[in-house]
Amino acid sequence: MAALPPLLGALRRMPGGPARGALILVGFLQAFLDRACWGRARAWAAAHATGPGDRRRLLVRLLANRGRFLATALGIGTPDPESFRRLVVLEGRDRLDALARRGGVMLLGFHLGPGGTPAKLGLAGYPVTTAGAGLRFRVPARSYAWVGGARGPAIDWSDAPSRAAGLHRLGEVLRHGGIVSLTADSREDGRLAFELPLPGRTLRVRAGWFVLRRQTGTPTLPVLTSEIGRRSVVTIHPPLPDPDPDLERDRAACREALAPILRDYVRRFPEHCLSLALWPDEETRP
Amino acid sequence: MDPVLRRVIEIVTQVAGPGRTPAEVGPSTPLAGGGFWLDSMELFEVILACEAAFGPVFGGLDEDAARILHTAGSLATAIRAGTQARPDA
Repeated sequence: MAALPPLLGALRRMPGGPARGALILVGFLQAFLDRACWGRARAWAAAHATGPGDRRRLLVRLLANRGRFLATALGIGTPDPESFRRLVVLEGRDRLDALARRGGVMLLGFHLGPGGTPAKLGLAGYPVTTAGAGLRFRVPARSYAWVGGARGPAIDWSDAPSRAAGLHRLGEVLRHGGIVSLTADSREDGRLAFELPLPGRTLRVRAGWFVLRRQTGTPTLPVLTSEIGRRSVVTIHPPLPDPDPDLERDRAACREALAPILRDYVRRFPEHCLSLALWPDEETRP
Repeated sequence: MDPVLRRVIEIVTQVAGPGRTPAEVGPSTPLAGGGFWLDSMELFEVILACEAAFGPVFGGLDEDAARILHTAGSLATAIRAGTQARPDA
């Protein structure tokens, strides 16, 4: 991980295609050398493919996506906003348009598929405020300057007080009719909203977005991104049910609404599910 | 005891519950570790409850969260400052 910033800086100076290729190769080799990661990848491939040939192909695609998705999220291989924009397909934007006309909207993302979804939405004309612990490493600013600019305002949090204050700020953004994007499965927040069993692994859904949604009554749209060839397809799903005054009924309603969306995604794109396939159990994650 | 501090302590005690409220509570009792042991969601609850009690007093909270949300006393100080800074004060 420590070698990643200089590597990204060097890759940024290479032509796009070879730079992406080099990042894919590095991601693949790093996973191969990390025996625990390699073992998890093989187990995921075994759970989602039948026959040795299919399993091998899934394993290769899964590990190649580590580098591909990082390159996509950082704009490596897409040197300017226009070339990035050409590769983005937005599905379900009418849902977002309809709700954004009426007030604040929360977009609920997951660590599945290529990153950089807020930047993609920003380039499509939706100013999205994001929040989170940010990248776990520092990237040379020029490597992603335009991607960061496209993404819109970002609230960084690192501990309990900054998270609480960040949620308060997001609440204000929503009350003023803004669009907020939060991930449901981040690991920096210990509290769970609920667990969601998916093929191959259980997703632990965090409480931050859930608490904010209940507190503000904001319509919440699950968003998933897939990468098909070089195209990033951002799918905005129908909104979750409105908050139920009863906490447990609300929890169950959100779980039931998210389950089919995420199960379908895992079945269609097992090679995109890097967090489910490769992240260690939380107790052992450094 | 100052009325703002007293109300803050009432709010924090209610959010933490009797199981996590220290035997002796004062302005220097930490809201998180070593005091009420509030997590981020509970601190958020405290912020909302304080706004319900005192009005919108937390402009710029995200720039100084660690200091403001450190103890009951620091939270009460921030509320007093926010109340005085309001145009209707």
